[in-house]
Amino acid sequence: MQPFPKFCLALLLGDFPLQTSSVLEGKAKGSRAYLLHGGIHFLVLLLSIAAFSGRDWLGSLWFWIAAAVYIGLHLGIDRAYQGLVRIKKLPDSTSLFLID
Amino acid sequence: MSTIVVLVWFLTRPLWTRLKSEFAWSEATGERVLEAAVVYVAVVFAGGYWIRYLTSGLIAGIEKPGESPEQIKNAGMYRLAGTILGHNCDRGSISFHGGVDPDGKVDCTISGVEGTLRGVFLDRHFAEHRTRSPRWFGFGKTLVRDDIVEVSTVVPGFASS
Repeated sequence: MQPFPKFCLALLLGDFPLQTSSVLEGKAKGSRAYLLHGGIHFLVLLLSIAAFSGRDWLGSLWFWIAAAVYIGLHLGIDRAYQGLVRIKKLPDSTSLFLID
Repeated sequence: MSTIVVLVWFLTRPLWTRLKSEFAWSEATGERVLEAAVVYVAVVFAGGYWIRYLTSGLIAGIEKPGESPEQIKNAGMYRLAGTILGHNCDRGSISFHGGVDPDGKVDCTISGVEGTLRGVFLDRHFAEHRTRSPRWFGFGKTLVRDDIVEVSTVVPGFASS
């Protein structure tokens, strides 16, 4: 099974139903909310991989590297995006979400 | 539910391997479930976000006394949903972030959507939509799969009287 749909599912779940308004508000205040958001993404990704790929992937070093890169990149883009929207350099738009 | 699960487990005492095999799915089934989950989450959540973005232009500069900017922002989505579903739709069936439409802001109509409605709703529900909401009292006739059927909807309080 291809990894893309599993990462896609984890991203969508972590960014929409599992991103509460308190996390969203917390992102404007500090980095704790980002850590929580990253943790939720990581947990959802683990569950998604365990459910749809079996536990073989979880024993692979490449999976952990890919997961770390995914979480790091996502949080980095999220932080930059929130910062740019806050200082009104960029409008809140769908294209930014798609880039993310 | 948990009581039933515990009771069944206590009575049958299944082995872990047997329990695991009951819930195991083939790779093909797993792929289908994954695809369905991705499509569902993308349409319902990301799609909702996209609709709110698309309709944000419609509410620019609108000020309505007694309504917060957030309520007006949501109303844009209600109007779009109303355009898709038509005037006689059940307002409670339109979901938005945090629940259903409690203010009844969906109040738009467009002709020629009946065919689409029949594809979306069950015939019984469609008939109710054509008469009015199922929560309203009323009688009516509607065309369901080339048959005229009578539909009555009764307010729960009146049903027992």
